[in-house]
Amino acid sequence: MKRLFFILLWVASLTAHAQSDSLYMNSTPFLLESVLVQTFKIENDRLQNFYKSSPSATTENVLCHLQGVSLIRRGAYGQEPMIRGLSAGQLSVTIDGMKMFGACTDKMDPVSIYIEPQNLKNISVAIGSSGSSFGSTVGGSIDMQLAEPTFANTISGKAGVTYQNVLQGLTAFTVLNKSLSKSAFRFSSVYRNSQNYRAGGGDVVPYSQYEKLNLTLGAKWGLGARDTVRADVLADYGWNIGFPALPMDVGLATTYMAGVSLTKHRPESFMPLFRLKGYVNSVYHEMDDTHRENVTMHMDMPGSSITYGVFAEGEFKKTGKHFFKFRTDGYVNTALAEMTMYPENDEAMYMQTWPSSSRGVFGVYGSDAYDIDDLTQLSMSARLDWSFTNIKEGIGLDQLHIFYPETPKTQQQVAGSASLILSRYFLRDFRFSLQGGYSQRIPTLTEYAGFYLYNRMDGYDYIGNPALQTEKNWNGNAIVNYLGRSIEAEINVFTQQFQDYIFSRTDPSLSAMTPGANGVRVYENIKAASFNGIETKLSWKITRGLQLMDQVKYVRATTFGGDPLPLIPPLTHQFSVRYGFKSFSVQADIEQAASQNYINESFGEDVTPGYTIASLLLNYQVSRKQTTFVFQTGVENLFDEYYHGHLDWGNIPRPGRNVYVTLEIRF
Amino acid sequence: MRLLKIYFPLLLISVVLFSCSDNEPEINPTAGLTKISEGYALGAGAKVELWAKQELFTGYNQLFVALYDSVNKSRITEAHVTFNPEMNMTGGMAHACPIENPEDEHAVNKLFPGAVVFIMPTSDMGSWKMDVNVHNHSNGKSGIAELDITVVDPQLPKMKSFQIESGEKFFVSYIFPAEPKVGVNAFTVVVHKKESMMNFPAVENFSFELTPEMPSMDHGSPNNVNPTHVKLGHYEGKVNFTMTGEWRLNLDINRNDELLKEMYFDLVVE
Repeated sequence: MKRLFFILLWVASLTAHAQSDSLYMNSTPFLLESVLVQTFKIENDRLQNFYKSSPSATTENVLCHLQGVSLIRRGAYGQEPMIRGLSAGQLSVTIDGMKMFGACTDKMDPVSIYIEPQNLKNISVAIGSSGSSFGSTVGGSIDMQLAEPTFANTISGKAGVTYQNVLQGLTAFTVLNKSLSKSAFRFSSVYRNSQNYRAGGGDVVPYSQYEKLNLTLGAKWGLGARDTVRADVLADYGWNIGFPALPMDVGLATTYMAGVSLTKHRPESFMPLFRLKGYVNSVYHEMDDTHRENVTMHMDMPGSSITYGVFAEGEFKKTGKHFFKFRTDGYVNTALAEMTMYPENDEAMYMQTWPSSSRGVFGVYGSDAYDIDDLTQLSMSARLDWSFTNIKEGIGLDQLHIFYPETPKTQQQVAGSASLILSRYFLRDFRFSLQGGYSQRIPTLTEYAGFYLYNRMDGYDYIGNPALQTEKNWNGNAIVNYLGRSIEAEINVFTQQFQDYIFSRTDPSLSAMTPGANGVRVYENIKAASFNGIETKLSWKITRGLQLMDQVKYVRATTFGGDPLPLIPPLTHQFSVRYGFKSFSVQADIEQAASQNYINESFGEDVTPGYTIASLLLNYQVSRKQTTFVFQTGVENLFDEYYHGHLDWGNIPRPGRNVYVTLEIRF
Repeated sequence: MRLLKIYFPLLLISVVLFSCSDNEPEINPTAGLTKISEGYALGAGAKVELWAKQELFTGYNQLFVALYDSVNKSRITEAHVTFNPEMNMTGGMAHACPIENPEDEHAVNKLFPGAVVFIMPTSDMGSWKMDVNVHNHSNGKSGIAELDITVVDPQLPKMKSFQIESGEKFFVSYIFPAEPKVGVNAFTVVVHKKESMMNFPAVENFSFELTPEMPSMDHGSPNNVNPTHVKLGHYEGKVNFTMTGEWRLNLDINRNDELLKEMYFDLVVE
């Protein structure tokens, strides 16, 4: 029986290749891919040091320097991660393995905004079907692990403040860790306040301000000799968050999450590691147009999203050449987004842009890393998800019946994925890997039942389609790594061939709801789409104090009809060099993007010119007894370039020259 | 003793449940309706009560007649009931309006349902009265109840009239069988023609093109079904409202492929 179970879970993790660890200094790209087979990895000192020296960066700064990742930008805040041109429902974004869904129909609240460097332990990125351990995904997964309370000194922590002149913004943070004999507690707070920022050349970008407070409290208890119970609570409050690229801002965004987990360590048993976790999170979101000029009609647009979930995961003892892992998980998400419009002389108008609904997804995942010989490993992984989507009776379902009279209240879908990777070392320090996989994803609530959701980029109202098939993706990677003592390098050539790609079609028979919109688009599966690209990475420790990082990302995406897909990042290059000497370190960064000419004009795209941005950073730290003082100052966008990225909605310019100063005390 | 504690509530519940199912309470046939007027059909030995869904208004009003034996107060469910509304103008003229008499001589749910399309409100210009003719099948006698009624103009018109070059005058009213709501709504247009001051027959050869829109938004709704004739001048279609608020139902009225009139009705979807 046990054998049968093992065969069922005959699968392997791609973590060895796809797990990117990040380190960075204030919006500085530092990337190292840790080559670890185990998910539960040892902290890398070098990573940690970089990590700790980034007192004022945002999680987004970290994300955009991970392999394959770029950011969709709608404002100074709330940037949405993308992996190799895929985003939103094509990715699985989790916090400590917890599923979470934004409450904003305009994607103003990607899950990554709840994570601050002060509460982040590690970001794991898995690309394509290899990311399926956290849920069915075609694009990959991003899991952000929360910092844990540590059993160390009785009390430790840090506090600091950053000032940035381009946005006249202040960031203040504290971290406090308290350790008792059998328990440890960790508290963190981050407050951010930003005015409208100034673009290169001096113009102020209106509606780019924001203010937020993020609080976390973690506790860990030891049970017996090796087991632990951990509880985490996170609260995040945002106010007056401007979105210059959208017609509305965010008035209020309130998020709570809580999770409790039990981890059992039994090194000598058949399952050395087992974790069980339950969680709940809620997001409430209110859009606001009261500060905008020339608003033809004011609207209220509140949204809410609540997710409950549970998962169990474990690693089996390495038996012979096999190393099995499993995960089983389930969650239920309930969501509702409403819109009330107030015409000047008429009655208020109400609709549900996301119908009141609930969706449950339940899945099993398994992986195996099989050592064929000393140099060759075959990794396999597979997942199967069953899901239901239930639209509650009432306005939401009635609305849907206007377009789809036959749609039942509840529909089910199944999504599966599998990945295979064969890697072999050669010439001592080289490794060659071939990966192939297949994955599916279920449509998002927006794609399933969105109702006149206005997309500012192409100017169309979008209507969901409950008859959508799952999106399917065959993906392949060919990877060559060089893993030398001082140099680590990688070249990755990849392809992603989609079937039933979820796209949209203009329906000229429908009239737009949003005043001034170009028309109505309905989500539909298109026959195929193709994404191909290449990535290179280099990390070179030239001397003890001198390090260099270099990264190139490129992807090209086309529909089966030969049209370019919209919102695809251009060729980008990120380069950093850092020199450390005694208590000082200096760092220079260059970020380059080629122009993006391969565009889809019908989706509101235009040619984006390329740019080169340079930044400098100086770090000084001094220790007295138990206390360390850190002083950091830097200049971003040194030459005050006026530019925007291709993924920046509305061609809103990015911040100009920014001088910042950070003071931090660690104890 | 412990068993009793558990079973006693169960017993109690089952007693309550079963006793309920044995003895269904009588549903009041006029529940949810408003009594408009009442009087005696002298000669028929019947008391006549006139009920409607709301106060009478200019437009298509569903009416319900309840009949009682004037002596023993018991319900009369077998009768022939007809309406005869009349508007008496201050100038001395009088006219009627379109009517739909109760079709059946057996009461439906103890009431006799019919309809009247009031084509103007009660005002200084004139007042309505309503004669209800009753042929009481339980005693074979006939009589007329003369009822005083008041008709008001609704906030938004529910009936409109138009005259074409030939001199023909038509009355167009609409009905939503259920309160209009967001989603798909069944919707009926009713058309009558003025043949004389007292005769308003149903018109059965019109066709319609329905285009809903929100005037304050400048947008419409998809997948509507144009009303088509079913019977007695009733044209049934479907109208879709994508949100609450004020909607306009644009109706292009055609006869034999000739556009007779472009008309609209405004209404509020709650």
